[in-house]
Amino acid sequence: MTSVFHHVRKDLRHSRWLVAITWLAAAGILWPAVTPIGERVGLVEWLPFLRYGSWLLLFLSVGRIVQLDAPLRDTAFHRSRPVSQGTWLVSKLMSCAIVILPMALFQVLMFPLAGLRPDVGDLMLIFAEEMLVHSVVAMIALTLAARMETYTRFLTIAMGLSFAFLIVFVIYVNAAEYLSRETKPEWSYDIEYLKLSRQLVTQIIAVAGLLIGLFITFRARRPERLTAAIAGTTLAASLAWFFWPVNFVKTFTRPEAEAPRSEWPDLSKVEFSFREDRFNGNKNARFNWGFGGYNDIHYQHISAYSRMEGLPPEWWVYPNGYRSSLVSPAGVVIESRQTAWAGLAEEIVLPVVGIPLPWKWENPAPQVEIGEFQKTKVDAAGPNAVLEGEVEIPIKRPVVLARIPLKAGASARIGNRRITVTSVEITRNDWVSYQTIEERPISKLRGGWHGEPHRTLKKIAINSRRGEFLNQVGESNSNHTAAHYALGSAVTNASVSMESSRGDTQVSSDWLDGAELIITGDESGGTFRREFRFENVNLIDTSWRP
Amino acid sequence: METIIEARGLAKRYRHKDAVHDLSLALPAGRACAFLGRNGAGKTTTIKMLAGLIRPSGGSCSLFGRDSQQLRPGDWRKTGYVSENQELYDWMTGEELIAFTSALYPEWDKAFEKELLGKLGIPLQRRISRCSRGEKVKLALLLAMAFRPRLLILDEPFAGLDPLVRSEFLDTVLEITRQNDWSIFFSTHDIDDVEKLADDVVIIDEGRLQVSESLDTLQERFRRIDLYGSHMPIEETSAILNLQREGDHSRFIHTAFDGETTAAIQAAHPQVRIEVSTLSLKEIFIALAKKCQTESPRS
Repeated sequence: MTSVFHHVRKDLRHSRWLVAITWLAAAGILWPAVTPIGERVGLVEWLPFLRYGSWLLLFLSVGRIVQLDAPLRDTAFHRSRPVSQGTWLVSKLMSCAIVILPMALFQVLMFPLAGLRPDVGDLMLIFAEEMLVHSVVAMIALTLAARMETYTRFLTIAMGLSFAFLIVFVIYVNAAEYLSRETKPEWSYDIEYLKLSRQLVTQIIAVAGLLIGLFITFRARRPERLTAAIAGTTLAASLAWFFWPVNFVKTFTRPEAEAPRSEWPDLSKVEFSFREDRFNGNKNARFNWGFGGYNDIHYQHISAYSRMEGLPPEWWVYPNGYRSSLVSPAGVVIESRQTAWAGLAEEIVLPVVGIPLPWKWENPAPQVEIGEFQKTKVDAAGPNAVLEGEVEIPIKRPVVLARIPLKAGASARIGNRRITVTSVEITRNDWVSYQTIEERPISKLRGGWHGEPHRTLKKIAINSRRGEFLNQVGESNSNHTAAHYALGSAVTNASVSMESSRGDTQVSSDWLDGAELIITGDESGGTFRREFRFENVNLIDTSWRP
Repeated sequence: METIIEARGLAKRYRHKDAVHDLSLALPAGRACAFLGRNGAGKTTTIKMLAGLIRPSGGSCSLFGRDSQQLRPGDWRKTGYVSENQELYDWMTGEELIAFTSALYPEWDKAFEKELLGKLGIPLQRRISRCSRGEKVKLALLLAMAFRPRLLILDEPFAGLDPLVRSEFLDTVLEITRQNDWSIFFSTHDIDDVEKLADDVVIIDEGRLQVSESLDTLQERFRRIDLYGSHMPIEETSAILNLQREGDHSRFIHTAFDGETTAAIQAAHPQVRIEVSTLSLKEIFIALAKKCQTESPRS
């Protein structure tokens, strides 16, 4: 081991300037963290460039470290010295590890420096992911450099391969776009988690494959065989990218926020029925439908009129999911797409903070989604089909996660996230305009962007002294991610609720006195399920609605 | 006697050219072997194969009885290697490189290192990239010798050195190897160096072995013979090189000279006066090189 460290010291000393620049580029992630919050938005846009730049520099650093003692160069100093292949390999791997270690640590350090407080588990996941992705870059560089006789050749081949990869990638993207026009994937969080699983496992295979390849070829004392190791690993990683079947990311994602079981509503007391309603004021109908398009494929989505009674008042119905199929008279079964997408309205939190709701909602489920089918398949099914399946209606209640003054500089931490108010003003047309910034760490193993899908945060500005809240008139959002750091900025223009006691939409000049920003989330209280079967369904004639 | 270097049927083929073909040689322990040949004869390729730095296309070679492709750190602790284009970590100073290299050898002899430093006069504080070629070669020599190797492989280390440096270098190697009974395998273009240093000589041309024997034997069997007073043609055999005639004077080099050669010539040419003179290694090498050139002229 002493001899390994002896070589590592020499390697790092030789490439110290390049390694220092690499670290400096990687440390760029800390730049926004030490910048005032309001100025971070502009900076975060630049961070991807720094990240890719640091990868490029890492690639060059590793190449330089390896090429110092290129195993295929017969004039290399170490070739005629008592340096075993094992010592060579372990020392080069250790040098690479030393180079990438601070790069991963910068990502972890960024969060406490920025004032975010992810839990230790998240930080460890982020560290592991960073080590993994940098290991991929380092291992590719190491293997390629070990295969080349000179640094110049290493650079030339790397550039050539990058160019070839770019061409293949462009061809792939175009081909994938062309080939996928006829098939629309069933979107769900599981698909996103599977994609992330594939990304991660591809990286693991890349590192493990190249590592094993290196060990085998060096053990056989045939470094020139590294080409086979590179080719084999590329093939295995490509297969994993496209076909890896196991969704292991889902294991690490956070569970849905749940209310204590003892507080869940008794769903056996909930009455649910499908019903007819007047459509366009002229005819009773079972369904409401609409059309949508995606990738040039037309879809017909169907909702059923329904009624739900007996749900305790603090509980609400979340937009539902379903599984359904359309069975044609000839017995052809058309499976529906499955969707479950949206959230609760932020206003429902108002009773929780002492402001009565401006509207009454006696029927929490006036319509439920029951299907979405490709239009061409619906047409093929013909009239008098059977539409059957099951609706799943999530029952949730709002929770106030934070309550902060509506003034610049106020901020709240909610789990991993931090929401900061960066500016508040009353505009010329007597609306309130405020900007908030939401920051949070992202971890692929937590589901990436979809890490906390079941708890959507929403904001609502209130003035409880006046008993008023602000209706959102408009919002402009911008979202930036830099590896594991997400920054979302929202400028909200809001007016006083139309339903407020004032009866107008302008705010008074002193409205901001005592104004608060309520950050709300939701928690689950179970899922209401109901099977359904509709006969004689005619989805073809769209000249009227059934 | 232990064989330090052994090659059997060694071959190296680059694309469509045989750099080395069916080469067999051996270096017994304690001997110094000069490896000679014209430019491009295959000397460096052979040495690199012997040292395991490149893989042969055919045949085998070994150092200390171990296949050159399977050399272990232990074998390199007994082998010092200096080649014409060997890299040094030229971003280090001489002192740093010596410190780095010495840590690789448990056998590193500090006192010997100091002795070599005194003899070779290497600038220690200067970055190696700023050293002259001679200084780099001397540093490489120190790094190859200070751990007292049993075998020293030198691939044209004298090339490009000025005469003074080369003389210092050669004297140092000569003195040290004689004292320590090391085995040396070295290639050079300077035949004078060989006569000082070598016990054995191996000559190759176009990758093929021409001569492999001790220097003494070689010089014993090569003689220049001058015949005066004969107009009879000399019968050319494989033992006769560089035959020249001028009037009644014939001159040639006999490659298989022994005690009976003069008598045999005299019997065949009773009227002639025979003068036999010894040849320097340089003359022998040139004669052989000319022969090779005649037999297989290069384009």
